[in-house]
Amino acid sequence: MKSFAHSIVALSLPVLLALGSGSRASGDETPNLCADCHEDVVAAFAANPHATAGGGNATDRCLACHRGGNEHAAAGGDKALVTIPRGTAGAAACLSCHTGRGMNPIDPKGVHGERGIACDTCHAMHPAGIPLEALLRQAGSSACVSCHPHARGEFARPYTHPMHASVVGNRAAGLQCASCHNPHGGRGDDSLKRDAAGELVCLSCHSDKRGPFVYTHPAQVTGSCMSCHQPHGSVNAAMLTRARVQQLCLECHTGTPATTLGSQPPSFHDLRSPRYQNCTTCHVAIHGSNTSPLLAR
Amino acid sequence: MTTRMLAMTVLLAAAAGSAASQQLQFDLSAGYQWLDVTGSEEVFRSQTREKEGLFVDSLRLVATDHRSSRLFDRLRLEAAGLGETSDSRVHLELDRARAFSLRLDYRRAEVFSALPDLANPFAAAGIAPGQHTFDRQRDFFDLELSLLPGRWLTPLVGYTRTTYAGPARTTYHVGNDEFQLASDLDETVDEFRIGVQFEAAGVRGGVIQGWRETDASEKLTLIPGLGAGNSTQPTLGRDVTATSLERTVSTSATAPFTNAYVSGLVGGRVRFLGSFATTNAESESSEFDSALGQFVSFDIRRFFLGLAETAQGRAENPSWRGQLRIEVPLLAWLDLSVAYSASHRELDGRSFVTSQYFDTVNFSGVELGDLSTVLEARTAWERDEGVAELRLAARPWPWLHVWGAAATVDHDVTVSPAAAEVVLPGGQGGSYTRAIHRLTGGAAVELGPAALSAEWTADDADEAVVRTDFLDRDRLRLRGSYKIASWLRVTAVGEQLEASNVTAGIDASVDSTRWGGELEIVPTPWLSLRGGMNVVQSDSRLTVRRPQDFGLEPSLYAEDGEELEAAVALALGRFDLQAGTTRTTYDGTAPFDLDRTFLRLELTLTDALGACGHLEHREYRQAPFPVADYEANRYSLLLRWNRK
Repeated sequence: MKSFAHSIVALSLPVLLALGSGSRASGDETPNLCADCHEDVVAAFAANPHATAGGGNATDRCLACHRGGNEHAAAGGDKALVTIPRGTAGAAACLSCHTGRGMNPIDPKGVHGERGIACDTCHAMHPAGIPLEALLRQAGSSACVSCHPHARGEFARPYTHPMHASVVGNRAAGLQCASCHNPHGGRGDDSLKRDAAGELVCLSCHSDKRGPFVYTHPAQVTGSCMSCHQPHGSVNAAMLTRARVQQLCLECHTGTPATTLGSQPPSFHDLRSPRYQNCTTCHVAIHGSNTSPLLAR
Repeated sequence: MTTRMLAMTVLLAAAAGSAASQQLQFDLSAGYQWLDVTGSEEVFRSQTREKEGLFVDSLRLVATDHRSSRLFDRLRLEAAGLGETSDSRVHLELDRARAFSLRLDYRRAEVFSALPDLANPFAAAGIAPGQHTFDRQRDFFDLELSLLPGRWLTPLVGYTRTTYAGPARTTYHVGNDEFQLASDLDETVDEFRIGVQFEAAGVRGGVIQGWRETDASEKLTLIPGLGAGNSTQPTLGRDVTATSLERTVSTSATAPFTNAYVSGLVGGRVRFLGSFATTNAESESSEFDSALGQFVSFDIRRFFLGLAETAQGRAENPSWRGQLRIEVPLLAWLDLSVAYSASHRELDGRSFVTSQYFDTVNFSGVELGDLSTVLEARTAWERDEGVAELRLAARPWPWLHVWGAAATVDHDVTVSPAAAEVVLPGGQGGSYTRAIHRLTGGAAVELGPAALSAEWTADDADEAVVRTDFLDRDRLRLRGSYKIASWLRVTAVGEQLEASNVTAGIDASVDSTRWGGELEIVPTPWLSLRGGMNVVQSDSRLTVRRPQDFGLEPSLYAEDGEELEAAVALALGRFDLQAGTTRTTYDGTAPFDLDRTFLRLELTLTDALGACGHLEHREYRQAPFPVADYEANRYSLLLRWNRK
């Protein structure tokens, strides 16, 4: 706890320095010229994350997306002269800043971009009222499940991650689709987020499964968590892909043919006995062990 | 940090931020929840994690101040689930233009499982819950500060702390029996990051260097009264019993990591995107086990009365992954992209285990005194993956998107078998390669109110590394939506998946169909109706070998499920009502019924104040195992205060 407090103090120093030096460096009280006609929009924009992004004064921040704004104002408000980014064509304005950053980048050729689903399908640049997180049009994952209704069905199964109310249930603090998926990323497994070390998002919460272990279950070597688990929800306990543990294990641990990876349990594992129907009663360290090659502890 | 402290911190931060601001908007909703459960409370809590008590349902606050003399331009605070809930979340954004940008996140999740039929050898006898339960808490704190945002060079620092702690129940196999142990785990992961992002001459990129440290300790002890173990039969004429079992485990791991990424345009046309991440995790562990009682070991072919075992482990796990993609617009409406990604991961593990068996007696009854064994084991595996893809995307008309891709995925896995693992020869190590050729094609059409998309993917693999790998797989996905009128919208999706591995001895096949849809009707601004349906039919088959007689039999697994949903939202004057019902019914290998009905009524008292009542009824029936059934009612009353 002491080291935790030290870390907080250490990390707070740059904040305080920035705060102390910021009063002269970043103050911008230049009137926003757009407010002459668009007073409500400009007032609401103060709560928008873009209000503090980029350089220049307040008017410049409007012009960053609304190209031709000066000409539009000079012409007395001619709408033909100003750009209002909308749809696929309008996405270029967003992507001029939001692209290619970090381990989970916004990828213009991502799965949604390729299908012509533009930024403003899910995001609202000038929302009314208190803006939602990430300027989403709808709260939580509502936008996701409106196009992916089968995902809502999967999360309605009895064993799932605790999801936000917009997916299923009543939880305001639950996980959202974007907790694990990068909606601006690729297809299939490429849509899964990765942490700063490049590891799959599952380990961000399930850190006890990260290891490294002296003995790793080869399922983690050849596949991923999804080899045995259904993270969107399962009809089986522990979100497993099979109802009975023995069935899940034996599908790999059968020595036919001899060319695949997966050992054969010896014959004292008599499956007619309940003791041997539940493999993880003995093989408790199924994700990895530092002591037992049989993953028994 | 207790949730009460957290709630106070959040409210103080909100108050401090808002006091200094020019503009303030907020929305706070808090109240009390009651629960009424009949049947299996363990299953209800394992599935829903619902709790009873006071809680802050949600808080959203935005304070802005664009005067030069103030500390920030924008403060945004979101919190949910504070108090007596199993999930809490706080998110803070604090920005000052071109000076700093601060992001802080906190999440708490209480994880609970006490299921009667998960790996429970006594489930059939109606003994519940099972022998593997946990009641633990995860806390996640993350802070990231970017300095000078919007300038060409942006330094950043970050810190993440994750903790996972609490009690659990597990089993321990020793002396030819399994015993139930109470576990107490305490794990902390600290991660520091420092980096810089840059943007110059159309090229963006960044480098982040991080350090992660994990410390974990776990203490396990025999649960009083359960020294008889799981086995009710004597072994070689002797009862196996434990009078004491104790096990302590401590692990520490370090993982320095680096990630870098870059993107940009060459010649104003050709876009490139690249990323690379590498880490080298190392762990050290020490374990001490002690046991007293009457035990049998077939490894040393003796009975014994006590065991003291120490183990020292060390593992090293270097890995890297990189990706490069180049995109070339061939025509104004046609893009070509070429991508290659590669990843490498390996493990080198060593373990040194010394075991002392006390008062040993051989199976003939001869007393042989104490016996020591030493095991020095080394494990190693290595995995490489490479994915090469060529993709074409065309947009010949604004209403049509067409894409197609060809890809090759190469896997190369080498696993060294551990000598102690050998139980039956084969399947425990070796070198395995697998190449998958993938073809994808799809189209999306948007014509006025109608949108339709289809994608087909075919995979063809030359080998299987594990038995569940496919050799052939075809997947077809369809999606359509039609906004018939401004008040009526229909969405439908479908997916057909067929996968197989016809290798003799495996004979695997998967046939899965999923389809569903939603209908949304908004006849008036104050009324909306929604209905949905999802259907899943999935059958899989694979040959397995029974260990007890080595006979072969098909492993069959089937899901035949249907989910129906209906919801209504009504806004009449000061009243806002939402109600809905969901029925999920599954046949197949794991049949069950899950019904959920809810009603939420919100009353606007004044412009700033409101009250809300929420009722939910949930009913779960697991036909072949009624011990798991439950019926639960949840009631909550909330007050809402807002300023917009």
